[in-house]
Amino acid sequence: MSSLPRREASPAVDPISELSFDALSREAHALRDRLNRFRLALGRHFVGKQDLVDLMTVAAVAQEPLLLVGPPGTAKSDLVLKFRDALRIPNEDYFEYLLTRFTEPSEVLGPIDINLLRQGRYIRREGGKLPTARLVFLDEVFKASSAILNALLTVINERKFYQDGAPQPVRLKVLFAATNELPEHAELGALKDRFCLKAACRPVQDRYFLELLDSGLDSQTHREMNQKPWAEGHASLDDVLKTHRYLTLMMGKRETGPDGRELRDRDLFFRDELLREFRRVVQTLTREDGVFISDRKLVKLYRLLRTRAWIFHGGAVERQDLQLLSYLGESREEIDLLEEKVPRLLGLT
Amino acid sequence: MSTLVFPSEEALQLALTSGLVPSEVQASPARYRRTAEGALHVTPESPLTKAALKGLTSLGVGVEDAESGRAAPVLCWAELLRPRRIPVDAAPGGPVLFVPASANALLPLAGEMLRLGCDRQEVCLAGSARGDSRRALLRAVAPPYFTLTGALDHTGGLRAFVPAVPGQHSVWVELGHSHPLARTLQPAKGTLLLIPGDGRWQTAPDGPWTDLYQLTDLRLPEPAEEWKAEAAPGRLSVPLRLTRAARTEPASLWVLRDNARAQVESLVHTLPEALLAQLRFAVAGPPDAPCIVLRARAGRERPPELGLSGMAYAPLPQLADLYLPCDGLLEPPVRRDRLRALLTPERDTVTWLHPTGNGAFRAERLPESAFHPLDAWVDYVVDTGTAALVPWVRGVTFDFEAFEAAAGEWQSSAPEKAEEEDEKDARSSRRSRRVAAPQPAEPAEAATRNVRRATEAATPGARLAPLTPAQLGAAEQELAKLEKSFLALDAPADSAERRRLWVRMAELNGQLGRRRDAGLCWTRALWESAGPEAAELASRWAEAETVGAPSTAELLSRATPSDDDVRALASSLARAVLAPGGQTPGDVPSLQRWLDRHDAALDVRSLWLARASLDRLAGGDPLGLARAGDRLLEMLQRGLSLARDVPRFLRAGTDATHAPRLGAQLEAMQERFERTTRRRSSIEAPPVLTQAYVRFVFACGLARLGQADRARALAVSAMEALDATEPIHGFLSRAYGARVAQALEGQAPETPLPPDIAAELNALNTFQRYKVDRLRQSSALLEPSERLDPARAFGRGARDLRGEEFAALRDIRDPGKVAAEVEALTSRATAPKLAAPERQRLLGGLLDTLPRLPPARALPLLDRLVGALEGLPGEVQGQLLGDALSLAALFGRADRATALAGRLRKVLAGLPPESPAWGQGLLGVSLRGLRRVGLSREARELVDATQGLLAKPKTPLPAQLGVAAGLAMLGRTEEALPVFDRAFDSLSAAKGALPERLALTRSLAGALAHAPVDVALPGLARLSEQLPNVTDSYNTNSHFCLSVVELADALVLGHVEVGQGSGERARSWLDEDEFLVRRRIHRELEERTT
Repeated sequence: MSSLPRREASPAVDPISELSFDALSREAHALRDRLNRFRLALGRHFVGKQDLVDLMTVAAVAQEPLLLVGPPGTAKSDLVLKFRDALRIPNEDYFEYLLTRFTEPSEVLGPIDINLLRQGRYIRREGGKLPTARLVFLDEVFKASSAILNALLTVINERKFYQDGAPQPVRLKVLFAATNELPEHAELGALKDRFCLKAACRPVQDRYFLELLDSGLDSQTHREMNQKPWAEGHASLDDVLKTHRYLTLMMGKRETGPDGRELRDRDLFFRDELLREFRRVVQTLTREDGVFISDRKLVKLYRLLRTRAWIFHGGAVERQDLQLLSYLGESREEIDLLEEKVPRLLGLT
Repeated sequence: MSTLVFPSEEALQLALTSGLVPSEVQASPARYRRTAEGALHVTPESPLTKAALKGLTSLGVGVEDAESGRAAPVLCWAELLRPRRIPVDAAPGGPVLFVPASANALLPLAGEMLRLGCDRQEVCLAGSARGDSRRALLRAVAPPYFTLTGALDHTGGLRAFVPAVPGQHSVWVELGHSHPLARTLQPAKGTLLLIPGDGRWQTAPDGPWTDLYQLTDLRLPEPAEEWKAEAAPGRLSVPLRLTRAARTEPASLWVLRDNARAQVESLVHTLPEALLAQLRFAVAGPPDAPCIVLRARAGRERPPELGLSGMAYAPLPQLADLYLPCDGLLEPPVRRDRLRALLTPERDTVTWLHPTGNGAFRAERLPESAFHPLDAWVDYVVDTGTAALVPWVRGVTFDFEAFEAAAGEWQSSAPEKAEEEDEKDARSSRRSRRVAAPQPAEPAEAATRNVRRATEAATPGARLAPLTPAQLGAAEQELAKLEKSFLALDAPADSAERRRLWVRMAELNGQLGRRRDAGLCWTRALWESAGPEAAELASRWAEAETVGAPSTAELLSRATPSDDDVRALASSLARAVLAPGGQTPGDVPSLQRWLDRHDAALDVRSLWLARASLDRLAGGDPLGLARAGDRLLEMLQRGLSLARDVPRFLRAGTDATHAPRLGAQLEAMQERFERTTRRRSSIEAPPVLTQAYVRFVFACGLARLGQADRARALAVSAMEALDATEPIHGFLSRAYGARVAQALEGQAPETPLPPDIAAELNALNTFQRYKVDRLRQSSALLEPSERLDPARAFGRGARDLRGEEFAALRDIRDPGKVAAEVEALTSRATAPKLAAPERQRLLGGLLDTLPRLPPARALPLLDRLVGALEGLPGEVQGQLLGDALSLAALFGRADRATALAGRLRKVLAGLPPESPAWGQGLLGVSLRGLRRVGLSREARELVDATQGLLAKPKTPLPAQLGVAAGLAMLGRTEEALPVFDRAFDSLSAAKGALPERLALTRSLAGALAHAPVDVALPGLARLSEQLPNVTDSYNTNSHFCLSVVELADALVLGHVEVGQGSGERARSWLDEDEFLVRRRIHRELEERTT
């Protein structure tokens, strides 16, 4: 079999993937502190967006794609850009693109290598494009052509893309996407379902008029002075990835209880009462509001809940962590409904 | 006490339900033990009789003497049967009884339900007899599902019970379970029996129940404060102010106050004639310093840039007859109706706001009739010498007329003219005045002369004295009353009662100077009369028409006679034939030739009366009469022309009182289309493009309803939004523009597009044609007649879907060749061994083409084609029979229509409810055809035959609506209403895909249009509520969102049909009227040509 060309600037083996649970455990407390400082500090640079910053942090650590839904001018892109700056992610690890129906796959996945094409090889030059980035932001994601959408499905699902018919892993860890509206076409349903979390990005001028003006002017000034005060260095992308590995290892662990019974993660970190509450909310949303929650999504939700619980209070899942279920809406109407209904079900209003 | 051993629970259930265990034993307590094998050892406390024991043993029940010490007690035997699990798909809507593990858990439970919106809760607190424990029951109606999930999980020991039998509240089974004998259980009075999913049955006292609110103290964060109402300090006075707008609108009205005459002279010297033709002017103010108001006609062209030094104004978008300075804005914005009441209280006036500084303004206005075409006052001459220059200078001198100004309102100085006189007449009269008096006249003199002319017009030889204003008012009132009683009259169209009304209306119209309407009334009265009555009516008609008309010789010498002239001659001809001693107005051949050139100006009745009279005067001219008959039937192909053949009061619709309501609703709906935020597909066309087409659609509708200014304004704004150089936008904007113009002209909706625009269709390439055809298919206002199938046409690349023969046929102009071709095709279509699909294709095409032939040639062919329908599928037969019936009606052949209606009835009876033919208006078309030939009974029978569809459960809604439309058409609205309701329900539930819903919307709107206005208008408004969810992803989105335009089209068409006499009564009246015309023509043709 002919070998694929080597990646431009092919990365060495990721050292984080080699870290042991014990090593990470020793660092866990510091990691958590840094991530909390990071999300709180970043939230101060926005008006009324702390919830979204928190959600982005949780999604990044859990490595689950997050979709921001909202009209233009509601800081969707700004959130991602400042998130990236705050984590000090270098250019080679970051890729962003505004997709339109005319966007070519080569603009996202890299152009075809003409020299290799002459030799009959269909290879993309992926440098600086999505396959080599670790944080990716796709604006207007549902406007992309079907060729790009299909490639994205594979990238999100399997973390790989095809070079000359052969699968090749991508470095993608964190994917944020934005859209003005949620499509209802069936053909886009598959991609939509890949985004377990969908959060509405709303205008805040009604509640925070003056604060918005002040913050907006500050932001404009910083941009023109080429300053990035939000890049405070509280945490790095490595911290995010280490936390992810730590939590993954932790959730896979089995311990033996005092009665000799094998204890799983949920026995230790998800009280029965809250598990039942989790199930009740899911059942209610499914039956009363017709919200579709696939089996795959349910498992992802568990991981997300655990991630949030660990970041926010370092221990077992608590009732307020279940607020994450507010972000399960599949349409704009569902998003609005769940953001209001889930806290009410949980008695957190 | 013996113990019974039941081998299984099923055996026990059988013993209990079959009565083997007596009911009194079943009701008494027992003890039982369940073995691992499932056997039940039951020790009853009430002894069983020997007979009962024998019966049980025959069932296989064992009897043991010893009782097991480990047996558990039960309240009754039914408790021995365990409840069965059932799924819980949704929260029960009725009462649910919650039993918390302890009374302490009651409060959190009630609080949770309150939080989730359930406040219909009752609580029953009870203590044990020993006083050592307390229990609590909570009964809630329609509790939230979330709380039920807790009970299903037994979270905290909570259990929920639902009534074992709906409506009965004494036996409760745990949620998610059922008990086989629950219906037979009856606890003691005042006691509740609770059957848990597992464990022992429980009883509880049934009350006392206390409403939760009686146990709840709700505290307000602050004590309430009582406010006392005070009288309003007085009305607020808000001055309206003119402020400067952000953008400048193009001017279309100019008020020239300084040096006005010189400015206009200068203008007409330099302005191209085409632009000059767009301008109208009015003069006001003192004669020595007149003010001239110039106004551009509303139209698709932008108003010209005039560069005048007067004040320039632009119309307010929502009020076309109110003009503001071009950069002006009214502050604060007020509603249109308020603005109209304040600034344009009178109709038919033009008002502009003259700024007086610091935001103040003065409203100045002139009557609409004060404006005259500017180009009519200008003569262009060749400047060949000084002598020629004199008339040119005089030509642009204005004959300014007397004026009055009062309190800022300018009085028109226009000559008093009867409102019915059209602009052309006005122009010609001024021209003649100028020719007669070449010297420039002083304004006062001109005014005097005009007054003199007005009186002169009526005096010589006039049968009726000129009316004073008071009499005019009385005549108008009487006419309005008569028109109203005519519409309300429940009598056939040819009844003597109606004839009397026609005569009186003719007289009154004549007195009011409405000569055209008077003529239409006279001919209607004359049409159905005979003998002396006809003679008298013909004389009176001719007298009325020839008042002030020139002599016949002078008429015949005119190259361009007016419509009144032609009608005067027609009436003279009728009088010559019908009245005793009537004289021929001239030599017959000259009269025939003259009429050949000018009879297009006549309505169908006048034309036929004139031609039939000529036939008699010539001593018989069957050929001429047959030709006239053919021409008339061709004119009637689309029915009576509202503009040409129908008096104005019938054109306006059923009841003129509904016109403002219709217009207002349509405008509100247009506003809804402009402002509604829709959920749009990701590839939907830019809203500005779609909106432009929606505006065109509304412009067509408003034009049909007579709102000319608004229609023009909408069409102009739509046109400006589209790039006319792009082929698709270009064609469609021209086509819609033509439709608006046709509607404004009062032409029938089915009038074909002008040939130059229709020819553009063939110039489009296949894909462009496809997109255009999709819109034509979806917009009945754009394409009212042709049945299109763009997808098939695109797939085949065909010019005509019915086949190339028919496309070729369209190109043939010679009627003889057309007839020969059609006959050849008929022979092919009726050949015995032709395959059914090919026969269907040919028959469909030929039925479409037959109207092009004269009846004498078409009718035999129609008979042959109808004969060849046998053997085709029922649905195809139904459609083709409907077409044939319309044709028979078109040719006025009641005999054939009766036979076809009989066949159609049979075919429709066998047509399955799901056939698409029902939804395609087959029934409506057939009913209209039958009524056109006066076959009301057959129409009723056809509706009765199809009414059975409504009773069939699986009849699709479009089919039901087809029948409902027929019912509404026959005035049986009550029977149609349930169908309308069903259709609305289906649309509200958003059943089916969007194209189906839009098709249903169109069917419903079409059916509603036949209902009374009070049903139709709210229904149409309700239909428009679907708008927020209408979008599509068709490839037509490159130019427009088809579904939105289609919805607009369906709604607007519904309004148009309601408004333009397509409503219940007027439509029926027009059909009957057309029948009368056809009946006489056919009768006389037969008499005179055979």
